Amino acid sequence: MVRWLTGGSYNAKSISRSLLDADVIMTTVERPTLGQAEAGGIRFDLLHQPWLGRLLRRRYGRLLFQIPLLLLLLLVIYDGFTGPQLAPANSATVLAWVHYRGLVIVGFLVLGNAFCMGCPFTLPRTLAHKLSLHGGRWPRRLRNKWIAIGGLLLIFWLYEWLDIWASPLLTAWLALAYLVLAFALEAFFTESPFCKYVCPLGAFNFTYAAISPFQIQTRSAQVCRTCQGKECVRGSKDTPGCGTELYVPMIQSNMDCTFCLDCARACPYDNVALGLRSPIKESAALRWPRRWSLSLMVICLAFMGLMNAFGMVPPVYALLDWLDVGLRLHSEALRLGLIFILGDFLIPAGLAYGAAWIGMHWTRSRPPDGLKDLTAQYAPAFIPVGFGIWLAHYGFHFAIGGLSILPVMQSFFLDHGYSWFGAQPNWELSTVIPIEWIFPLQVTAILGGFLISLYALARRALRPNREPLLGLREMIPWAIVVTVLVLLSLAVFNLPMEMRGTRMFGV
Amino acid sequence: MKHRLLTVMLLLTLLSLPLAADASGPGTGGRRVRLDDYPSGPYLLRAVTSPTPPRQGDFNVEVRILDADTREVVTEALVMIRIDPVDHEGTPLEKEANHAYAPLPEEYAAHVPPDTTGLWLVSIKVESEFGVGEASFYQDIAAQNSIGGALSVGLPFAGLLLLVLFFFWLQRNSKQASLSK
Repeated sequence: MVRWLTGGSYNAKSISRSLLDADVIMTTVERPTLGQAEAGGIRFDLLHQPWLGRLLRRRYGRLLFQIPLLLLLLLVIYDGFTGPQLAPANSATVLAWVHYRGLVIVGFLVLGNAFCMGCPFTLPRTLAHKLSLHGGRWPRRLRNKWIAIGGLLLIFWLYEWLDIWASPLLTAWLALAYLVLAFALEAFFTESPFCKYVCPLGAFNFTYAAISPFQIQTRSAQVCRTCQGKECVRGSKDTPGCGTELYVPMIQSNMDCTFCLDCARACPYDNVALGLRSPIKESAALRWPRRWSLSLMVICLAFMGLMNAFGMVPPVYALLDWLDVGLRLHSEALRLGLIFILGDFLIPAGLAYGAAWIGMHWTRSRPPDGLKDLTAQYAPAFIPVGFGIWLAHYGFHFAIGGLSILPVMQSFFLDHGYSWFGAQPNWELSTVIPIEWIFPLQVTAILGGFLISLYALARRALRPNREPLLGLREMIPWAIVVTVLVLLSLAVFNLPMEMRGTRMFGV
Repeated sequence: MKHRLLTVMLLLTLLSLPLAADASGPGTGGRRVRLDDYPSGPYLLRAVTSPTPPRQGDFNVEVRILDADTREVVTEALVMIRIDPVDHEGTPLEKEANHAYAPLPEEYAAHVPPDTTGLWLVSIKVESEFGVGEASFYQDIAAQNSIGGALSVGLPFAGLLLLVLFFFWLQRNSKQASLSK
């Protein structure tokens, strides 16, 4: 069957249905031109800057980012399997747990979903995608974020239980498992379900790219209205369309956008921009899809930030001991599993449900989808506070151990008989900024995120034709949850934190 | 059951309060290698300190001893760790490092908490049938980090209070605006 998508008004459902049903996709050759004046609505477009813009839009532009990251991934796997099994002296653990996590979080602040843009896991995936000529579509029932939430829970649990941060070997296995999983899913399914529905790293990146200053936008809405090919989502002859099936004129957030820029490359009218925007727009103003899995993923990730930091401070050992003696749970895996399922999912989900229920009853409102509507209304406000907590945590590790990669690489080359970078590793190299700056910066990150979250809650509570106090009644349970989250986070960050991968061993 | 519930609530309450840094044992608070196979008499010593940064009242030293000739790990030795303040007030302290305290069984570790901030000299002395070895390094000890209980609790609640007041202010303004119309 040959199907054309018509121009005029677009609709997400009709586009995706058309994509689902079309066996052969035809594209138009008609090319309207885009005048400079039409692109004036975008404050700053990274894709149309000299040099960098041209580089990013080139057919193999993404490879420039992917190849260095692929080489680093191969180094992680190689050194993890063959190098010294001392976490702080092995590039696998230092790169994965100090640098990746630190840089990815900084990437959100300055650009956006930078890691997904250069994700090396998608390189073998592209090969698998070409093999999947007769692959089916990802099951409709699984097209949500439940698997991603489960994946995040699994990763955080395994990370603590197996002390993956302390084991170069396990870190290498994890990287390898990621490669295999991405490859397998692409081989079996036609679209890119791994990024959108499965990858825990992607789920984290999609969520916190919400505070990024850049977003995919159209340069001219008129061009998209008259476009018949919809190459940005369906692909052109030479370039694939959006792997996560986002249609550029309808993109309002960075959720599910991997920043791969295939849409920009596929667009025959050069009508796609990576434009500057307000970093708090998504958290404060944007109406998000009303889906439990999406809302809970955002809320749970904020609590996961707290729990992940909590897993590194002395009281967690006291709690583990208490569970051992008091509840007779002798299995460490079980005890950690209980702590993480409670703290990462059940408690945040319960609090969200409770906050929505209280808000609904206090305001005597009856939104069409009830609690789901209210949760979707306020869930995005958890992004700034969650980001602040993660920044305080991952930023700490990077600040303390960012330079430790230099002696690690010196040691790596010396072990392989090369003394290019000196005959002795300089293990004194470690901190990126003065140590005394770190704690004030952590507190600033948490409180800054908290204040922006409160602002976002207020913006979301205020609606035209509704009294402000009614909005306050609806919003105050959510504000209390955010406040408690921040109180607990400040308490945890006041405690000493174990150093992951920076000159330390596993205990 | 009630007792357990009370214990959980007590634990959660305690966890929600800002606590003073109270790391117990090497591994809590991070580690850093200070000596890497440092030649010391018949031995090669690797010394690892924790936490990072070390703070007043909390400092651990772990030592791995290799035979300098064979590079075999030496596990039968007397290892003493001593800390001395450098150009400031403080109480020198000496402790025997043992296997039981070390995270890695073939190593030695001791908890030697400095009682003041500033620069300290950390000395390691190893004695075994192979002979005596000594090594030392300087370590800066930082003060404890905390914004304190009042600020930790006060700042978030102040934010919440401001939010509530903002809504009351909006409500008053919207009523005044509707009256003036």
